[in-house]
Amino acid sequence: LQGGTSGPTNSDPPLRVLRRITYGSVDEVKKGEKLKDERGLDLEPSVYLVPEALEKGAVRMHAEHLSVLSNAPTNQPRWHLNVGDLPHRGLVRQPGETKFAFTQQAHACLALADEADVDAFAAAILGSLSAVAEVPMSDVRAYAREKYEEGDPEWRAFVDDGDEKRRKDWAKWLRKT
Amino acid sequence: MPFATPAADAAVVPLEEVKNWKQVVPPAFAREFSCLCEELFVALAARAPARLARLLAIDGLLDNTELSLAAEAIGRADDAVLVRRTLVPLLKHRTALVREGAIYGLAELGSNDVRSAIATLARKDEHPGVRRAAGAVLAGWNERPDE
Repeated sequence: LQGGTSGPTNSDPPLRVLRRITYGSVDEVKKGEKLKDERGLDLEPSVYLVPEALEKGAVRMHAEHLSVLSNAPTNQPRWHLNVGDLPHRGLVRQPGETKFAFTQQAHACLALADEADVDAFAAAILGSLSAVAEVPMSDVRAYAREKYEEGDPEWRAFVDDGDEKRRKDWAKWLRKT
Repeated sequence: MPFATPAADAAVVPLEEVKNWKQVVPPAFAREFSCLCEELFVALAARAPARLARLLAIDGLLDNTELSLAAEAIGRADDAVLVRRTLVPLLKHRTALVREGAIYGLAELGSNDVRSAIATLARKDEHPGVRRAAGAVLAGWNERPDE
Protein backbone atom coordinates (compact mmCIF):
# COMPACT_ATOMS: atom_id res chain seq x y z
CA LEU A 1 0.00 0.00 0.00
CA GLN A 2 1.28 3.45 -0.93
CA GLY A 3 1.38 6.12 1.71
CA GLY A 4 3.68 4.59 4.26
CA THR A 5 1.08 2.82 6.39
CA SER A 6 0.10 -0.77 6.83
CA GLY A 7 -3.32 0.14 5.52
CA PRO A 8 -6.61 1.24 7.01
CA THR A 9 -8.08 -0.71 9.89
CA ASN A 10 -11.50 -0.81 11.49
CA SER A 11 -10.20 1.30 14.34
CA ASP A 12 -9.39 4.20 12.05
CA PRO A 13 -11.88 7.10 11.95
CA PRO A 14 -14.71 6.46 9.48
CA LEU A 15 -15.00 9.65 7.43
CA ARG A 16 -18.14 10.35 5.46
CA VAL A 17 -17.89 12.77 2.54
CA LEU A 18 -20.71 15.32 2.76
CA ARG A 19 -22.20 17.51 0.04
CA ARG A 20 -23.66 20.27 2.19
CA ILE A 21 -23.24 21.84 5.63
CA THR A 22 -26.52 23.80 5.90
CA TYR A 23 -29.20 21.14 6.03
CA GLY A 24 -32.28 22.21 7.93
CA SER A 25 -34.09 18.91 8.35
CA VAL A 26 -33.61 15.15 8.44
CA ASP A 27 -35.38 14.82 5.10
CA GLU A 28 -32.94 17.27 3.52
CA VAL A 29 -29.99 15.27 4.84
CA LYS A 30 -31.46 12.03 3.54
CA LYS A 31 -32.06 13.43 0.09
CA GLY A 32 -28.93 15.54 -0.21
CA GLU A 33 -26.63 12.76 0.97
CA LYS A 34 -28.49 10.12 -1.05
CA LEU A 35 -29.49 8.16 2.02
CA LYS A 36 -32.89 7.94 0.39
CA ASP A 37 -33.71 8.44 -3.25
CA GLU A 38 -36.03 7.08 -5.93
CA ARG A 39 -34.31 3.70 -5.67
CA GLY A 40 -34.99 3.42 -1.96
CA LEU A 41 -32.96 3.59 1.22
CA ASP A 42 -29.20 3.40 1.46
CA LEU A 43 -28.71 0.99 4.34
CA GLU A 44 -24.96 0.88 3.69
CA PRO A 45 -23.72 4.48 3.64
CA SER A 46 -20.13 4.76 2.49
CA VAL A 47 -17.23 5.88 4.61
CA TYR A 48 -13.47 5.86 4.27
CA LEU A 49 -11.30 4.60 7.11
CA VAL A 50 -8.47 7.10 7.13
CA PRO A 51 -5.61 6.63 9.60
CA GLU A 52 -5.10 9.78 11.65
CA ALA A 53 -1.35 9.36 11.39
CA LEU A 54 -1.40 9.36 7.62
CA GLU A 55 -0.03 12.64 6.34
CA LYS A 56 -2.56 14.40 4.12
CA GLY A 57 -4.90 11.47 4.67
CA ALA A 58 -8.11 13.49 4.34
CA VAL A 59 -6.74 15.37 1.33
CA ARG A 60 -5.85 12.08 -0.30
CA MET A 61 -9.29 10.66 0.48
CA HIS A 62 -11.04 13.60 -1.17
CA ALA A 63 -8.69 13.64 -4.16
CA GLU A 64 -9.14 9.95 -4.85
CA HIS A 65 -12.88 10.11 -4.13
CA LEU A 66 -13.19 12.49 -7.07
CA SER A 67 -12.56 9.54 -9.36
CA VAL A 68 -16.07 8.23 -8.70
CA LEU A 69 -17.51 11.39 -10.26
CA SER A 70 -18.52 11.41 -13.88
CA ASN A 71 -17.15 14.93 -14.40
CA ALA A 72 -14.24 16.91 -13.06
CA PRO A 73 -15.39 18.71 -9.92
CA THR A 74 -16.35 22.31 -9.40
CA ASN A 75 -14.42 24.60 -7.08
CA GLN A 76 -16.65 23.62 -4.20
CA PRO A 77 -14.77 23.02 -0.93
CA ARG A 78 -14.77 19.41 0.21
CA TRP A 79 -16.47 18.47 3.46
CA HIS A 80 -16.33 15.36 5.60
CA LEU A 81 -17.51 14.19 9.01
CA ASN A 82 -16.15 11.56 11.35
CA VAL A 83 -19.27 9.42 11.78
CA GLY A 84 -17.72 6.89 14.15
CA ASP A 85 -19.87 8.07 17.05
CA LEU A 86 -23.04 8.42 15.02
CA PRO A 87 -25.66 5.65 15.38
CA HIS A 88 -25.06 2.56 13.28
CA ARG A 89 -24.99 -1.20 13.77
CA GLY A 90 -21.51 -2.00 12.56
CA LEU A 91 -18.92 -1.58 9.88
CA VAL A 92 -18.59 -3.71 6.79
CA ARG A 93 -15.39 -3.52 4.78
CA GLN A 94 -16.18 -3.29 1.08
CA PRO A 95 -13.81 -2.34 -1.73
CA GLY A 96 -14.40 1.23 -2.87
CA GLU A 97 -15.21 2.22 -6.43
CA THR A 98 -12.43 4.74 -6.83
CA LYS A 99 -9.54 4.21 -9.24
CA PHE A 100 -7.01 4.14 -6.42
CA ALA A 101 -5.81 1.30 -4.23
CA PHE A 102 -5.75 3.36 -1.04
CA THR A 103 -9.38 4.44 -1.13
CA GLN A 104 -10.47 1.07 -2.46
CA GLN A 105 -8.98 -0.51 0.65
CA ALA A 106 -10.08 2.29 2.98
CA HIS A 107 -13.69 2.06 1.89
CA ALA A 108 -16.30 0.60 4.20
CA CYS A 109 -20.02 0.76 4.75
CA LEU A 110 -21.93 1.47 7.91
CA ALA A 111 -24.61 -1.10 8.64
CA LEU A 112 -28.12 0.29 9.02
CA ALA A 113 -31.19 -1.92 9.37
CA ASP A 114 -34.20 0.08 8.28
CA GLU A 115 -35.61 3.55 7.73
CA ALA A 116 -35.63 4.25 11.45
CA ASP A 117 -31.87 3.64 11.44
CA VAL A 118 -31.44 5.89 8.40
CA ASP A 119 -33.50 8.60 10.10
CA ALA A 120 -31.39 8.33 13.25
CA PHE A 121 -28.16 8.48 11.25
CA ALA A 122 -29.39 11.46 9.24
CA ALA A 123 -30.55 13.21 12.41
CA ALA A 124 -27.13 12.68 13.94
CA ILE A 125 -25.49 14.19 10.84
CA LEU A 126 -27.87 17.14 11.12
CA GLY A 127 -26.82 17.59 14.72
CA SER A 128 -23.13 17.36 13.88
CA LEU A 129 -22.88 19.86 11.04
CA SER A 130 -20.79 22.21 13.16
CA ALA A 131 -18.20 19.43 13.46
CA VAL A 132 -17.81 18.96 9.71
CA ALA A 133 -14.22 19.31 8.56
CA GLU A 134 -13.13 21.10 5.42
CA VAL A 135 -10.48 20.30 2.89
CA PRO A 136 -10.00 23.20 0.48
CA MET A 137 -10.30 22.26 -3.15
CA SER A 138 -6.95 23.98 -3.74
CA ASP A 139 -5.32 21.40 -1.44
CA VAL A 140 -7.07 18.56 -3.23
CA ARG A 141 -5.99 19.87 -6.62
CA ALA A 142 -2.43 20.51 -5.47
CA TYR A 143 -2.20 16.95 -4.17
CA ALA A 144 -3.53 15.50 -7.41
CA ARG A 145 -1.28 17.68 -9.54
CA GLU A 146 1.79 16.73 -7.51
CA LYS A 147 0.98 13.05 -7.87
CA TYR A 148 0.35 13.41 -11.59
CA GLU A 149 3.50 15.42 -12.24
CA GLU A 150 5.72 13.01 -10.31
CA GLY A 151 4.37 10.23 -12.51
CA ASP A 152 2.24 8.37 -10.02
CA PRO A 153 0.89 5.48 -12.13
CA GLU A 154 -2.61 5.61 -10.64
CA TRP A 155 -3.00 9.34 -11.23
CA ARG A 156 -1.47 9.07 -14.71
CA ALA A 157 -3.92 6.34 -15.60
CA PHE A 158 -6.88 8.17 -14.09
CA VAL A 159 -6.23 11.49 -15.83
CA ASP A 160 -4.92 10.19 -19.16
CA ASP A 161 -7.32 7.31 -19.82
CA GLY A 162 -10.76 7.56 -21.36
CA ASP A 163 -12.17 9.60 -24.23
CA GLU A 164 -10.76 12.92 -25.37
CA LYS A 165 -13.44 15.05 -23.71
CA ARG A 166 -12.86 13.39 -20.37
CA ARG A 167 -9.08 13.73 -20.64
CA LYS A 168 -9.39 17.44 -21.47
CA ASP A 169 -11.85 17.93 -18.63
CA TRP A 170 -9.51 16.48 -16.00
CA ALA A 171 -6.36 18.00 -17.50
CA LYS A 172 -8.02 21.42 -17.33
CA TRP A 173 -9.00 20.80 -13.73
CA LEU A 174 -5.43 19.82 -12.81
CA ARG A 175 -4.03 22.99 -14.39
CA LYS A 176 -6.24 25.34 -12.37
CA THR A 177 -4.10 27.17 -9.87
CA MET B 1 -26.71 11.39 -22.74
CA PRO B 2 -29.47 13.28 -24.54
CA PHE B 3 -28.71 16.38 -26.50
CA ALA B 4 -30.96 19.41 -26.67
CA THR B 5 -31.60 19.75 -30.38
CA PRO B 6 -33.09 22.95 -31.80
CA ALA B 7 -36.38 21.08 -32.27
CA ALA B 8 -36.38 19.94 -28.67
CA ASP B 9 -35.70 23.45 -27.47
CA ALA B 10 -38.54 24.91 -29.51
CA ALA B 11 -41.31 23.64 -27.22
CA VAL B 12 -41.27 26.05 -24.29
CA VAL B 13 -44.35 25.67 -22.13
CA PRO B 14 -45.71 29.02 -20.89
CA LEU B 15 -44.85 29.66 -17.26
CA GLU B 16 -48.45 29.62 -16.04
CA GLU B 17 -49.01 26.18 -17.57
CA VAL B 18 -46.01 24.48 -15.96
CA LYS B 19 -47.15 21.80 -13.53
CA ASN B 20 -44.06 19.59 -13.36
CA TRP B 21 -40.40 19.56 -14.33
CA LYS B 22 -40.91 17.37 -17.40
CA GLN B 23 -42.71 20.26 -19.08
CA VAL B 24 -39.61 22.41 -18.68
CA VAL B 25 -36.78 20.17 -19.82
CA PRO B 26 -36.33 19.11 -23.45
CA PRO B 27 -38.33 15.95 -24.25
CA ALA B 28 -35.18 13.87 -24.66
CA PHE B 29 -34.24 14.59 -21.06
CA ALA B 30 -37.76 13.86 -19.82
CA ARG B 31 -37.50 10.46 -21.47
CA GLU B 32 -33.99 9.75 -20.23
CA PHE B 33 -34.48 10.73 -16.59
CA SER B 34 -37.28 9.43 -14.39
CA CYS B 35 -36.80 11.90 -11.58
CA LEU B 36 -35.20 15.16 -10.57
CA CYS B 37 -31.66 14.20 -9.69
CA GLU B 38 -28.15 15.57 -9.81
CA GLU B 39 -27.32 13.61 -12.95
CA LEU B 40 -30.19 15.36 -14.76
CA PHE B 41 -29.02 18.76 -13.55
CA VAL B 42 -25.44 18.15 -14.70
CA ALA B 43 -26.64 16.93 -18.09
CA LEU B 44 -28.88 19.98 -18.49
CA ALA B 45 -26.02 22.30 -17.51
CA ALA B 46 -23.94 20.85 -20.31
CA ARG B 47 -26.61 20.54 -23.03
CA ALA B 48 -29.55 22.77 -22.18
CA PRO B 49 -28.47 25.29 -19.55
CA ALA B 50 -31.29 27.72 -20.31
CA ARG B 51 -33.79 25.02 -19.38
CA LEU B 52 -31.96 24.34 -16.14
CA ALA B 53 -32.07 28.06 -15.41
CA ARG B 54 -35.82 27.95 -16.01
CA LEU B 55 -36.20 25.03 -13.63
CA LEU B 56 -34.40 27.07 -11.01
CA ALA B 57 -36.54 30.12 -11.62
CA ILE B 58 -39.99 28.58 -11.31
CA ASP B 59 -41.09 28.92 -7.71
CA GLY B 60 -42.23 25.69 -6.09
CA LEU B 61 -41.15 23.34 -8.86
CA LEU B 62 -38.04 22.02 -7.07
CA ASP B 63 -37.70 21.39 -3.36
CA ASN B 64 -34.85 22.96 -1.42
CA THR B 65 -32.45 20.04 -1.85
CA GLU B 66 -33.10 19.89 -5.58
CA LEU B 67 -32.67 23.66 -5.86
CA SER B 68 -29.34 23.42 -4.05
CA LEU B 69 -28.01 20.66 -6.28
CA ALA B 70 -29.33 22.32 -9.45
CA ALA B 71 -27.74 25.61 -8.45
CA GLU B 72 -24.38 23.96 -8.05
CA ALA B 73 -24.79 22.12 -11.35
CA ILE B 74 -25.59 25.20 -13.44
CA GLY B 75 -22.23 26.60 -12.38
CA ARG B 76 -20.76 24.15 -14.87
CA ALA B 77 -22.49 25.85 -17.80
CA ASP B 78 -20.31 27.75 -20.27
CA ASP B 79 -22.64 30.76 -20.35
CA ALA B 80 -21.29 32.89 -17.50
CA VAL B 81 -23.97 35.53 -17.99
CA LEU B 82 -26.71 32.94 -17.59
CA VAL B 83 -25.01 31.45 -14.55
CA ARG B 84 -24.66 34.83 -12.84
CA ARG B 85 -28.20 35.93 -13.75
CA THR B 86 -29.62 32.69 -12.39
CA LEU B 87 -27.60 32.27 -9.24
CA VAL B 88 -27.02 35.73 -7.81
CA PRO B 89 -30.72 36.10 -6.88
CA LEU B 90 -30.55 32.70 -5.16
CA LEU B 91 -27.90 34.06 -2.79
CA LYS B 92 -30.86 35.75 -1.08
CA HIS B 93 -33.08 32.65 -1.02
CA ARG B 94 -34.91 32.15 2.27
CA THR B 95 -33.37 28.68 2.73
CA ALA B 96 -29.72 28.29 3.72
CA LEU B 97 -29.37 25.05 1.75
CA VAL B 98 -30.26 26.86 -1.47
CA ARG B 99 -27.90 29.72 -0.72
CA GLU B 100 -25.12 27.20 -0.17
CA GLY B 101 -25.78 25.57 -3.55
CA ALA B 102 -25.78 28.97 -5.25
CA ILE B 103 -22.41 29.77 -3.67
CA TYR B 104 -20.92 26.58 -5.09
CA GLY B 105 -22.40 27.29 -8.52
CA LEU B 106 -20.88 30.74 -8.51
CA ALA B 107 -17.53 29.37 -7.36
CA GLU B 108 -16.83 28.63 -11.02
CA LEU B 109 -16.97 32.34 -11.87
CA GLY B 110 -15.11 34.77 -9.65
CA SER B 111 -15.90 38.12 -11.23
CA ASN B 112 -15.69 41.12 -8.93
CA ASP B 113 -19.43 41.53 -8.45
CA VAL B 114 -19.81 37.85 -7.58
CA ARG B 115 -16.86 37.97 -5.19
CA SER B 116 -18.40 40.95 -3.50
CA ALA B 117 -21.74 39.17 -3.09
CA ILE B 118 -20.08 36.05 -1.68
CA ALA B 119 -17.93 38.17 0.63
CA THR B 120 -21.06 39.77 2.01
CA LEU B 121 -22.51 36.33 2.77
CA ALA B 122 -19.26 35.26 4.42
CA ARG B 123 -19.55 38.21 6.79
CA LYS B 124 -23.24 38.67 7.33
CA ASP B 125 -25.35 35.63 6.50
CA GLU B 126 -27.51 34.53 9.40
CA HIS B 127 -26.58 30.85 8.98
CA PRO B 128 -23.11 29.76 10.18
CA GLY B 129 -22.89 27.10 7.47
CA VAL B 130 -23.53 29.64 4.74
CA ARG B 131 -20.90 31.96 6.21
CA ARG B 132 -18.46 29.06 6.31
CA ALA B 133 -19.21 27.90 2.76
CA ALA B 134 -18.90 31.43 1.43
CA GLY B 135 -15.64 31.92 3.30
CA ALA B 136 -14.23 28.70 1.90
CA VAL B 137 -15.05 29.70 -1.66
CA LEU B 138 -13.57 33.15 -1.10
CA ALA B 139 -10.39 31.59 0.25
CA GLY B 140 -10.16 29.44 -2.85
CA TRP B 141 -10.47 32.49 -5.08
CA ASN B 142 -7.85 34.36 -3.11
CA GLU B 143 -5.39 31.57 -3.86
CA ARG B 144 -5.86 32.08 -7.59
CA PRO B 145 -6.36 35.80 -8.05
CA ASP B 146 -5.68 35.67 -11.78
CA GLU B 147 -9.01 33.95 -12.56
